[in-house]
Parts: sequence; C-alpha cells; structure tokens
Amino acid sequence: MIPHQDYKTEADRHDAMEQILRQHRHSPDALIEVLHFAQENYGYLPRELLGRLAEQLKLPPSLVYGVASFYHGFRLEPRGRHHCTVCTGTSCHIKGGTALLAELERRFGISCGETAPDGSFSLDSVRCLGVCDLAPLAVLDDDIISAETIDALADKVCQCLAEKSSTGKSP
Amino acid sequence: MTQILLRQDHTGQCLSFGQYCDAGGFEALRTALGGMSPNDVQQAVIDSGLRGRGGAGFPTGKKWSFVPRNLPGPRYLICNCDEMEPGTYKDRVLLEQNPHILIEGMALTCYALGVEHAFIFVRRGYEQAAANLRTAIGAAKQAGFLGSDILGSGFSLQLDIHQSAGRYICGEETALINALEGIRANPRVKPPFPAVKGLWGQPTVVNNVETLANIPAIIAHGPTWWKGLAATPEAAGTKLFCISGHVRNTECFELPLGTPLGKIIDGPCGGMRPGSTFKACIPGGASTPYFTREHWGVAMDFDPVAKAGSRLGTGGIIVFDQNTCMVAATLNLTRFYARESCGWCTPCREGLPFLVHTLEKIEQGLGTESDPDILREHVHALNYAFCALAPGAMGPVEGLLRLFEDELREHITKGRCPFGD
Amino acid sequence: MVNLTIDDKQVTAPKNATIYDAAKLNGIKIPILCHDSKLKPFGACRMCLVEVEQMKGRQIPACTTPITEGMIIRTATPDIIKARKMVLELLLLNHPIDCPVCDKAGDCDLQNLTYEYEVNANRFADAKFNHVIDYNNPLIERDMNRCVLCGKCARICDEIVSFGALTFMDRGIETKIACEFEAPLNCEFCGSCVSVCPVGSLLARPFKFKARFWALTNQKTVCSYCGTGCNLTLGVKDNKVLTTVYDENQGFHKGQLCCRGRFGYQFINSERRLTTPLVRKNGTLVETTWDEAIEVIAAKMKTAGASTAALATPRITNEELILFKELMETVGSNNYDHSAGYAHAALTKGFVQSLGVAASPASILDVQKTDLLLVIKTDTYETHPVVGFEINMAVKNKEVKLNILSDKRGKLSKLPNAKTLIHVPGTEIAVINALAKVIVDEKLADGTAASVPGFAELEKALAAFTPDAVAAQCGLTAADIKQLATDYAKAEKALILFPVGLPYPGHNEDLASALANLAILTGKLGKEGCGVLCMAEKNNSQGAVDMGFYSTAGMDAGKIIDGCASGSVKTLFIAGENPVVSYPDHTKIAAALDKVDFLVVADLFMTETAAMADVVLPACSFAEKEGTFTSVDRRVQHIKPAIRKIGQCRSDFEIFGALITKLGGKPSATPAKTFEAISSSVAGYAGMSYASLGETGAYAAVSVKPSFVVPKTMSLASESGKLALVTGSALYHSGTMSQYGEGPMYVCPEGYVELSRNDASKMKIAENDLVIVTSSKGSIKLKAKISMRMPQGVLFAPYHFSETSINRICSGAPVTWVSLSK
Repeated sequence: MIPHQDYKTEADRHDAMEQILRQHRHSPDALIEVLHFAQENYGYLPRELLGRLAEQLKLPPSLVYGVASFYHGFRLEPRGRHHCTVCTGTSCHIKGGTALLAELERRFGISCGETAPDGSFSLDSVRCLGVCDLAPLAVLDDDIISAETIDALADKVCQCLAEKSSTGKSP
Repeated sequence: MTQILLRQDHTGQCLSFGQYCDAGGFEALRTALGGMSPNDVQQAVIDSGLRGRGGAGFPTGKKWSFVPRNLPGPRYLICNCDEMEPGTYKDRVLLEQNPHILIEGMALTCYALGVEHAFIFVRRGYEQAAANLRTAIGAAKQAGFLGSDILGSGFSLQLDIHQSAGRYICGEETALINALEGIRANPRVKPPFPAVKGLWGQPTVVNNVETLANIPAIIAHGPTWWKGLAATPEAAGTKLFCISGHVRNTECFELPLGTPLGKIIDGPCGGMRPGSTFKACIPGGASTPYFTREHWGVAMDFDPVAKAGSRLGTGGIIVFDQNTCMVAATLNLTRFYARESCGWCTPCREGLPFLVHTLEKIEQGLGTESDPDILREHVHALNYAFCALAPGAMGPVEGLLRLFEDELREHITKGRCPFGD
Repeated sequence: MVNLTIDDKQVTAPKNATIYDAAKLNGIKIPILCHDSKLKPFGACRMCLVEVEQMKGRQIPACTTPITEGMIIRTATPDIIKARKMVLELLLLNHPIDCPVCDKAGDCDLQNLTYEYEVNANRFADAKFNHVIDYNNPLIERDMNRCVLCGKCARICDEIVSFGALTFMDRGIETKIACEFEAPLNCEFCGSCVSVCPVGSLLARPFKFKARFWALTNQKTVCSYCGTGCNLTLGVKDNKVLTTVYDENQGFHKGQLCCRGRFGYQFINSERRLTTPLVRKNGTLVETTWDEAIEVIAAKMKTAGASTAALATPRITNEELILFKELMETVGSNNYDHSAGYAHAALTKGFVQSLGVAASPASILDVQKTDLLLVIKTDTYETHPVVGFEINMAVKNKEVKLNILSDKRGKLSKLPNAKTLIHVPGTEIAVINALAKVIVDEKLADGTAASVPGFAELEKALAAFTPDAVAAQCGLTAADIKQLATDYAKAEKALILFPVGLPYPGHNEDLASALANLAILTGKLGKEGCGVLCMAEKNNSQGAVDMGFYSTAGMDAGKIIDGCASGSVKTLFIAGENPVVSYPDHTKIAAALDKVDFLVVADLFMTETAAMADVVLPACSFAEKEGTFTSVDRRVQHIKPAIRKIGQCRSDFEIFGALITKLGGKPSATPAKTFEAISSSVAGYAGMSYASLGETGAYAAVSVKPSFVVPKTMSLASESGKLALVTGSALYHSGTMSQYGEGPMYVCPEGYVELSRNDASKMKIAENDLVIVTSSKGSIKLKAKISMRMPQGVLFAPYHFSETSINRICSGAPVTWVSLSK
C-alpha cells in the first residue's frame, strides 16, 4: 500500500499532498493514486480536499466526486478509530458470515455501515475479501480474525478490540 | 505431480529472489533474450495451448496475435490481479508465495509483444501481495531483469503497480483500463478492442496473473513438456484450484488441468468435513452454474466443464453440503453482483436488484407461482447487458432453475425456507 | 461504401458507419435512448439491440457496432422485440409514471417507446426512486427520479460544453447524475443537457406548465444574438414564443445553443415591448399614430437634408440596412454608420487593406478541420459560445492544438494541452508583429510571401519587433514568442480567431492586418482549416459591412456624435442602437444626443437612448419579420416571421419604406425584392435568392487579394499605481439586448469588476464587495468578483448593463487606467 505516515498537523498533510501531486506531475490520470494517498493521509476524503484536488488536477469537481463515489475503497465520511469489516462472501455466507454480522451488530449496538456515537468503532460488511480459505472471517483494522464458530469469532473480535483500545493504538 | 507455480520456501514463507533464481528462476528470460525472437516466444505460447486463467479461457497466444505491431506509439501489458469474486483467491496465494514468477512471465510477455511499460493491477485488500511484488520488482531491477537494456539485449521494461480502489468490475479488461486512467471503471465500448486501442488509446494486452506466471515454464521447458503436465490429452498445463466451503482442507492447490472434480474433492481437499455430505458446488468462481453429484467425474478443463453446463472460470470451487439452501446461496451471489454492477447499462443496473428482491421474497416464503418464470426471463434478458458481469451473475440463477427447481418451488409452496429453523 | 442487408433489404452505407447509422441512412428506424450522433458511442440503454447473422444471431447494440461488408442484420425479430420490451419494463421498474404532470409528455422517448412497444402493463413491481428534485435555479429543473441514466447530459457537458457540471455518481442501482456532493447545478446554463434529455429529468423551467409539447408550432429561424448565426427553432403558441425547441439536425452546430440563445428568447413577447409610436409633446413622450409619426419624421429629415444622420444596429436585416441607406440617399445624406464606427474597422479597414475584402477568409467549419488554432483573447468563448463549443470539440476530439494570446486566462485555457500566453493588456499587436518577425527571420515564411505587395515595407517595419524587445514590454518571454511563431508557421493547417465588437476597441484594423500578415506570410490562406476569422459581435454585423452600412463618404459614428454636439447634425435616426449604454464615453454621448435637434429612435424597448428621443417607433423583433442575416463566416440565412407583429409594431423595413414613400421616393415593396437587388450588387451574394438559401443558408464567397500592411501598435502610457481595466463580453450576454432575456439576466443580472486574488487580498476586497472604480472620466460602483484567471494589476468588466454601464468610465481606449476603492 501507499507508504503510511502519521502527519501531525494540517500543514504537514497539506505539504504531503502537494508533494504527491508534484510527483504525479498534476496529471489527471493520477486521480486514483492521489485519492488513495489523500485517504491514507486524512482517513477519509473531505469535501474541501476533493475540491482542491480537482482544481490542481485540472478536472471538474463533479468528476472527482464521481470517481470517489464509485469505488468501494474511498470514504467520503470519516469512520471509527477502529473499524471492523465482516465478510459476507459466499464462502463465508455458507459458514455463517451473515449470522456473524448480525451478532456483531447486536453486541456493539450499531448497524452495519454505522459508526459508534463516540467515534470509537465502526462496522461494515464486504462481499468477499479473497481469503475464502479462512472463512468465516472478519477484519479488525488490518488484522484478519477467523474461527470455527460464529460465537467464538465474535468473542475474538471483541477481545481484540478491547486490547487495541486499551493500548490506545490507532491503526 | 509437477508444480510449477506454487513454490514456497521451507518455512512456508514467500520465496526470496535468491531462492527463485537458485531454482532456475529467470533462466527462461535469459533463454528468450539470448536466442529467441519475440515471435518465437509468442509461437511457443500458441503451441503450448495455454488458455487464459482469469475466467474466460481465451487462448493466450491468440490474444497476443491480435496486437498490431505496426502502429506508432507504445504498447502496454496489464496484469490483471483484480481477483474479487466470491470463492476465488488463487492469485493472492500465488503472489504471497512466488511473486518472481509473475515478473519473469511479464518480462517474457513484454518481450514477445514489444511492450516497454507494463502494469500490475492489484486488488484492494491484497496488501501483502502488493508488498511482495514491490520487493520482487526491486530485486529484479537490481539484478538487471527489469529496467533498461535487460541482459544487454536492448530490450527495456518498466513495471508499475496500481493498487485498485476496489470494484469487481475492474476485472473486466476495459473497465480496468479506465481505472488505470484514473476514471470510473465502466467497461468501454468494443470494438475497438484493447488489443488495438486500449490504455491511453494504445494497443494493450490484459492477462491474468496465473496466465502470465505460466509463461516462464513454457519457455524454459518447451510447450510440449508444459502441455503434458495436464491430466488429459486435451488439456494443457496445470491449474490453480482454490477451494472453500464444507470440505476438510480449504486451500489453493496446483493440479493438472483436467483432473476430475471428484478426485479434487476426495483427494487434496480430504473429502467433506465431518457431518457434511456433498450437495453441490460452484465449479469455477461465482459466475459459474452449479455442479452436483452427477458431475463428479467431469474433467476440470475448459471444454468438458462447458459441455457439462458450467464454466471452468477461475478455478474457485465452493463446496456446499446438505444443509445449504440453494436459494439463499444464489441470493448471496446475486447480491454480490447487484452491488458490484457499475450502473452503466439498463439490464444489469435495473435487472440485478430486481432479481435480488425476487429471490429475497422467495427465501422469505413470500414467493409466487410465477416467480420461477420471471427469474427465467431475466436470465435470458440479462445476457444482453453491456459487459459480461450480468451474464456472469446469471450463472448461479440459471443453475438454480435447472438443477434445483424443486427446492425453489418448495420455498414457494411451503411459504418458508425449508432450511430455516 | 459497404454493402449489407438490413431486414432483407440490400443497402449500402459509408465505411465508418455503425449499424444504427446505416439503418437510419436507409430509412430503417432502430429505437434508441442513450445514443446521440453528436456524442461518443455509449451503448448503455440496450434499446437498439439487433441480430447479426454472422454473429450467430447474437443480439448486439446497433449504436456501437461498426458495419462490415456483407453483414446480414435483422432489427425487429420477435426475440429482439421481446428484449426491447424487457428493457422498457426494467426502466419502468423505478421510473415514476407521472406523465400527466410531466412537461416532457409528448416529446418523451421513454413514453413514446413504451407506447410503440405496447408495454401496457408493468408486470414487475419495485419501489420507485425518491430523489430530491433540484429546483435551485430558475432555468433548469433536475428530477432524477425520471432519469434513465443514458448519460447524455453528463456526456454533452463534458464532450461539447467542456464544463463538466454533471457527472455519474455512485454505482449500481444507486447510480445517478449529479453535481459534486449533490450540490445544486451551478454552470454556464447553456441548457445542452436539457436539450438532449430523452425523458423529463431535465426541464427548462421557463417553459414549465406553459404548453403541452404537441400544442406548439415550431418555427425555424436564426438566433438574433451573436454573429455565429446559430439556427434556432422557436416553440410558438397563441402568438407567443414560449420556448426554444431542440433540433439535433439544425445547423452546423447540430442544435447546440448557448445560454442566451436557448434561454434568452423572452424579449420577443416581453411585457416591456414598445407597442405604439410615441412623440414628445411638452417634454413627455405620448402615444401617437403611425401616420403622425411618419409625417413628423419625414418633415424633420427633409428639412435637415444632408445634416441628417443615421445609426443602425447590426441586429436588423440586410434588407432593412439597404433600405435605411436608401432612405438616407433620399434625403441627400451619406452620414450613416453602425457599432460606434470602430467595432467593424477590422473588416472595413483592416481586411480591406490586407486582403482586399471586408470579410473573413475562413469559416466556423474550419475550426474542426485545422491542426492549430491561434485564438486572440480567451473572450472568444464568451463572445461566441457556440464557436467555443466547436473549439472544445476540435481540441478534445480532433487533437487540434490550441494556442491563446490573451490578457487574461479563461475557459479556453482549461482545455487539454491549451497554451495560454498572457500579455500586458493592449500589447497584442506588438506580440503579433514579433511573431511575424520570427517567421521572417527564422525562414519559416512561405515561398510566395516575398512576392506579396508590401513585403519589403513590412520586413523593414518589423525590425523593431525582435522577440527580446517585445517580450520585455509585453510580459512574455522571447522563447514563448519564438515557440508560438514556430508552432503556427510549422503547422500544416492553422486558423486564427479574434473577436471584435463594442467592448473591444483595441481589436481594430491594425490587429486585423497584423493577423492577416501572419496568415499571408505562412501561406495559411485560402485552404481548408486555414485563414483568419474575424468574429463580429452581432447577429448581422457581417451583413452590415456587406451592405456597406458604414461611412465611406460621409460622417462615421464618432463624427455623427460630435456633429450632434456641434449642431452639424440636425436630425439623427437611430435604429436599434443604444449608444447611451453601449458606446464609450457615456457623458459625451448623452450630452450629444441631448443636444441634437431631432432624435428618432426605432427600437423594441424604451432604452436609455429611446428615452431621449423626440419620436420613438415600436419596431419588430427578428421573430416578427422576414429578411436575411449574415454570420461572421458569411453564411447568409433567411428568416421568416414566427409570430404576428406585436401591438402596432412595424418592422424597420416597413418604417424606412413608409418614410421613403413619404419623401417622394419609391421603396422596394418586399424584403424579397430587396434581396434580389442585394444578390445582384453585393460581391459574393450573386445568384442567391430566398428560395436558394433554404433552411441552411448559403455562404457568400470571399475572394482574397493579399498585401502586407504595417500595423500601428498602440502607445500605452501606463499610469503608475493604477490598474489596467479591460472590457469585454460576459458569457451570458450579447450587446444590451440580452438584458431583456430571462435566462441571461438570471445567471448574470448586473455588471461586475473581476480582479485577481492577489489584488483582492492586497486591497482587502472580498467577493461581492461593492467597489468604486475610478478613471479620469468618472467613477462607478461595481460588485467585485475575485478570480484565478486575472493577472495581477488587470481588471475585467463586461459592458452590457444599463444600470452599471462601464462606458461611464471608459472612453474607447483599449485599456482604461483606473483605481479601486471600497
């Protein structure tokens, strides 16, 4: 993935964006690369940022938004500090993936696609992560969590989240 | 049984560049650049009978031969590693074990096609595979297998990785080209085909990871040897089968192409998991109509599978046991396609969500007698979509109607899912 | 040609045709929703599926599939009909069936196809969309619930308008057409999207609930705003022009229009139209009869005799201009002119000297046929927006190189690979001379150049224009100048475009000659895709020149105004011009018109000029009369009445005719008769008649006799501490008439002054702040508009507005030095 860095201030982030734009010579073809980087940098794609990028890549703002809203990978809203994705692909589905999602929704009290009110956690689903050999499974931040039964898997997700939250480590 | 693709080091980790070279890696490239013309390489691939491993099974050498060599401007090769359909994960396993073989395969292909700039389009979520590729490209460059004037042959190649922003339709080659150009990944109008007018309007070949990874062995050992790796005289080479579902060993195996279905499940898969008996399977990824017990003996090769009413596809096998509701499974697959529809053409954009709603209704016990016919009509109509996504989505629905109509009707007559609690 | 069989009929079609094109050409109708001949192939709706025998009878889209020799095609097999029904049924799943309240009913492709294919019962049921309808602007309503996602709106906005306001958002079933972040539409409001929408998703709001589509009578005519000469169809009911109707087959521009053309028609039936003659009695204008008015005017003209003068707007027809001239001859005066006397000088003086003809040796069609465009001022887009679309398409589809020489950036600068050289305002002629210098010095000139008269003089005069010398004074680099000269000279084909008009006093005879020199030097004349196109401002500016309605022996517009002030002009007849607002130096003009003994104004409205008149005559708009207009590229087009005359209005033709009769002359009876005379006397018009002009018009030939002319450059004494104000046209307006169009006035209701971000922040001026702009002539208050396109130290102001006329502070110099304060 794109080299991940912790930019401390808005100015740092801004400089980093300027640098990546220069690196791609402000070419409109680089839009997806630039959006990847922006999301790494900001956690999501804020509105003003997309407007600025459009201007710098000489693209109509509508087109930039059209691209950002097309791909699964781009987020137009920030998500929780920790994020759990449940796979509901067919291999997971027949082994209880859909039930796992319902169980996690119940345990965390939020629906799929939502973020906890305190911004600590968000939950969504995906239709196949390409790790069908480990089905059923969930991904917490960058870690794949798999288990034989749904209850065991839900327990593991909760436990893992508790550990991550207590160390205060952001993904 | 010979494995040419899947090779890991003894600890099960990704093969290092040194290990790959020690095992004869990049010898094929040396051979080609040393004494073969680009046309010789293409001819070897044609002779080998290699067919595309991404799903459609189109003869690779033939695809290359469509590229006009006399047009001005550059030509491009794109490696399609946008493996996104449920049940398919072979390219990930391959790249997590042996990224070098892809690089060598791409170098050979680029040499054959006269390409100096190639791209690997990696699926979102395959971070490890992308990282392996980056390391491998760095090492290959350092060793002079990439970059300018490779091995003093005058042939140069730049290899770049594009990380997809995530969308199943990117697997369609013209949509992938749009994604590489930084726009929405809608498929393009064909003709012109990418071989003539692709990336940035230039001739472009798009090949699957596994397809390209087979090229070094074809060049190193000759097309005849490679063809002979298959299980039947009609088939050619080996194939990665990635297995999931209710079997004991859910893994990716490299097996001779043409190995019968039953042999795969009873053999490397270790049979069904305890308590499960075989009901059906998806034989080649999410877009292929189901196989049942009656297909146990079908040789898993392109033509025999097609003859038996399905498609070999990607080789992603999902095995269902006796407790699997086929309506629910089909609904799950159709939901995937409805969600992944790019929204471009009418049948796909409007038809798939309607099918999802209809299947939901049936699964919830609210189906009506006319629903199977409505489904059948859509299976027919969605074939006229803009690209292959909607017709692919109809694979499982068609299989459901053909093989499990009784189960479907039972949902309607009983007014509930017979597998529900 | 390719031979093929469609529905058992042997047909032929050109090589690059698609199945759809081939069928259409041979009278076989294939249904479409997303296809548009102007746009790139799309193939998304799947209505046009056909069967091709060679493709195993597979159903393939006719609109994207090219034909091949021997193809056997079936367009309406039972299977195809079934598939098309299915497509319609799928579209109707979510589409609201609200035809009774939909303005598109009767003109809706979806409705018509549903009817044609007898999809009379919706077998499938699903939830309807519930998108919010965009009512945020008064011109375009967007109801995405009715959208079939053919994408034509987004495609036309990108491919032709090159604005990109609308685009595809989201994906799958959620896909919709929207602006970024689903914001309200904020664009050029050309309405191209409305014109191509096959359903009721995009509607022209000014027409909403005005009439059912089938109740309209369509009247073909020509747009009366700028000199592009766009063809226009007016939708008429009950003697009212209620809308403009899109016709994709109309004109070279295929029905494309700009904001003023599409949404600016309301002046025709405006409540504010003058409907009775007025005469000033005891200081106030009161209603009178035509008889009295004609009598008074005739008497005054007769008395004034040679001291009569005339100013006409180049918006009136060729026939009216000829008759106006006849009227002046009848009273023994040759004092007549138009457009302040300078706005046509590029043609009447510049091209006459350089090319031996007062017309452009190029056509708008050359824009898409050239290899390189050299555009003088980005304003070219604003003055002639539909020519701007042609430039967009040339650059985006035909890879034409675009070079712009301008005093500011503009929309054209944003086109792919466009090169914009920004020069100091008013120095364009020096830069062009430097280009000529490079062409001569670098031996880039055509072999024939040296034998063209005036070469030696030009070569000598160019000595002062070395790139280094010019670069220093113009704010460019010598390398830029050399590069541009080389690119232009080396291009196989190159075309130069420059706008002229009232707000561009610097675009005069010298600029025209300087540009002509470039074309003559490089042999880029008289060939397809080459030449120099002088883009005159008004719908009949070229006609006014062709009809000779400018001073040759008598006073020009400037002298006429001076004559009014000095008393040497006794009676002034103004037809359609509004000098009080549109001519430079407002104070002087107003004083002169106040002074003149007798002032007659014939106009549609009580303009600022009409308000000063002794007699005001209600004239007809273009929609109420017959005649011809001549476009910038000398396309002569015939217009016919679309509606009956409003109130007691009379056409200028009738007015001039009545006066000639009153004065004892014998005027031509009909415009047709006058046009006969024109065709036998005006060079290039020979052989034309109303019948021969037809719907598409005819080009008047332009024959060129080149000579080199040494152009004078402007002396620009910059004033320290002052800002350079340049004037021009706003995209939505044309002259002062567009003030009576609803569309233009919604998008751009008032004057403004545009300044750079740097200047704004230096002077602490924010967007929309009221600022006082002061020149040596006076000062006015304008809203500030801050933009990226303005160079530091340069201001731009459009000139169209009565209330905030920039001519209060400008006096006809190319650059006005001003100061800004809050």
